[in-house]
Amino acid sequence: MELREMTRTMVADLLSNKGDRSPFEDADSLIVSGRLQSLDAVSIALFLEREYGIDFSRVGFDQTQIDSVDAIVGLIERERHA
Amino acid sequence: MRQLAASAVTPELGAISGGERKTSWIGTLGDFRLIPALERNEENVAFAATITGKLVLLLLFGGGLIIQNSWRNAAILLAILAAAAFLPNHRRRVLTIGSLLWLAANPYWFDWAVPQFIAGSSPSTAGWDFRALYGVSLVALLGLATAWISLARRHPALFFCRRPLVTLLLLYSALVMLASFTDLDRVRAAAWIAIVVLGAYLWFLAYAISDQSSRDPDSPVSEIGTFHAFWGSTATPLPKGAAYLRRIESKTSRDLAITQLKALKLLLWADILGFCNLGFGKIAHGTLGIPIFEDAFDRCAAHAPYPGYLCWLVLLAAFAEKIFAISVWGHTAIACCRMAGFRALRNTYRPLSSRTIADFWNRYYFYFKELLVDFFFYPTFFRYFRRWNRLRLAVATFAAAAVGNMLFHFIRDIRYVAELGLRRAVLGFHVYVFYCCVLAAGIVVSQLRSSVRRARPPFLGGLPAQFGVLLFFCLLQVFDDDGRTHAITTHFAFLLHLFGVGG
Repeated sequence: MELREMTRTMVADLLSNKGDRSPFEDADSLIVSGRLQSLDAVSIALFLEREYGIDFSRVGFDQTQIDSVDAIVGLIERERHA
Repeated sequence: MRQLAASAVTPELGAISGGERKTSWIGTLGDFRLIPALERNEENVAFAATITGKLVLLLLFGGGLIIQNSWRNAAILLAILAAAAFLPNHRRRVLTIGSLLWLAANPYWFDWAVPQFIAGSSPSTAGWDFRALYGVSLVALLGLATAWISLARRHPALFFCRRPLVTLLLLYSALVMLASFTDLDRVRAAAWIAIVVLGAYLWFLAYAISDQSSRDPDSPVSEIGTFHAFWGSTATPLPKGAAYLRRIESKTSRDLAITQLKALKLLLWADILGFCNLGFGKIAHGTLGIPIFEDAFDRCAAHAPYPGYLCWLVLLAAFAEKIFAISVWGHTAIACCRMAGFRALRNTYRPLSSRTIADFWNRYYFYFKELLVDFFFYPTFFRYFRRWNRLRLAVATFAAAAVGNMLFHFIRDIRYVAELGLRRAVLGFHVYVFYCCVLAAGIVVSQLRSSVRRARPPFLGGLPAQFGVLLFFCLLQVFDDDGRTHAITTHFAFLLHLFGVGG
């Protein structure tokens, strides 16, 4: 599955767990907009740690790095090329 | 593959997420709108974007502000908001100037009793002009903040730029030690002035310096504008720091119009809740004669408690009043923030609909929780116990809800150190330490259990869970005492008395 599609699936799953089935665009804010909570951000970070080996203790963690599908994909791609 | 990706993330998500929205019967009841959704009508939005529309909105908003503020303060706020509304391209400059103007108009927003207490108890500082010293120390703090932020922009790798909170806490501790153990009265008085001013701005500074390591940090001038911004904060920055404000700033005139319509609605809701709180207080304490919590607690401490049923009513009334108070205060501040063009989330959002302890904590005082998450939860979570997800979640939650919570309140109520001495102030803090530990334990258990709960439909529409959460927080408030007057045994005596145990 393509990276972006996997990320979208992960985000959709996270939102639906919270009873939020509204559509979302790749650029839409997820955490800052309040659709996901700061603790949900940890769930995304765990997913990125496990699936893509991103080490947040090294790169530093900031909610805005994972605030949208675009931001998450950008972070994964940056870390792949790092 | 789609299912695989989804299931790969679900268990951990369930374990960690605390937020559930609009699925309970209270949530459904909450869909009723007392105040119509003005921002969903395109004609309203188009009108609000015009000059006349802005003026009408400001006028209505000013009317709402006067209900909760003096004429003077309402006029100052309205002038700043008008500048922000008509100069959207200079919003951050308006914020800085507005916040400094607000500080000049209301300089004593934090606990200024300590230096005066010290002055009163020491003959060698009797002649000091503490108001002037306060002004000087405030200017010095803003100067220090500007220098520190500028340095962090240029040299982010330096320890005190990379770890601002640790540095601030070390600096603060050193000042408290100096004030507590020096024999020199003048040094002690000067140290206390520094402690009070630094304590008031400590978390603002932490946010501002942390922001300098982000990709697009604000300038020192813009950062200073977020230090106790004109819309109001306590020691908890509302709504977080400059990094958050950049993300939520309205980008277009349509965005701004929608945000301002939401601001007006929120202020109206705050005013309604304010009247409800007044009415509730009159009925509860006047008509029904329910004593206030402090009175009932003191009676219990004096071994002459009110009857158990009355203590329950006292507890329930105090809980309701607490929720009213934080909602009115938070809604008013966030309404002003929105009116200035920032799409901030509410500070308190339907706490009664929470079905988990973690969710209630998230909804009750959002920006305080965010502060603890940003400065205690995330750093712990991403550094320690990385192989054991449940353990790292529990430890990070404890670091935030217990350790961070204690530190915040010890610093906020530092006057006890001046009044009682360091040792007695620390020992007397044991009740709040207990409160924090129980709160943290409740949140950890709630987070770990939520994955199991989510797998099946809620029992009786989630009503028992909601009742359980409210009962937990209602009872926990017996220990939510950051004063130093009563020992924990007195608090337990009150708790047991509620259940008919003891005198």
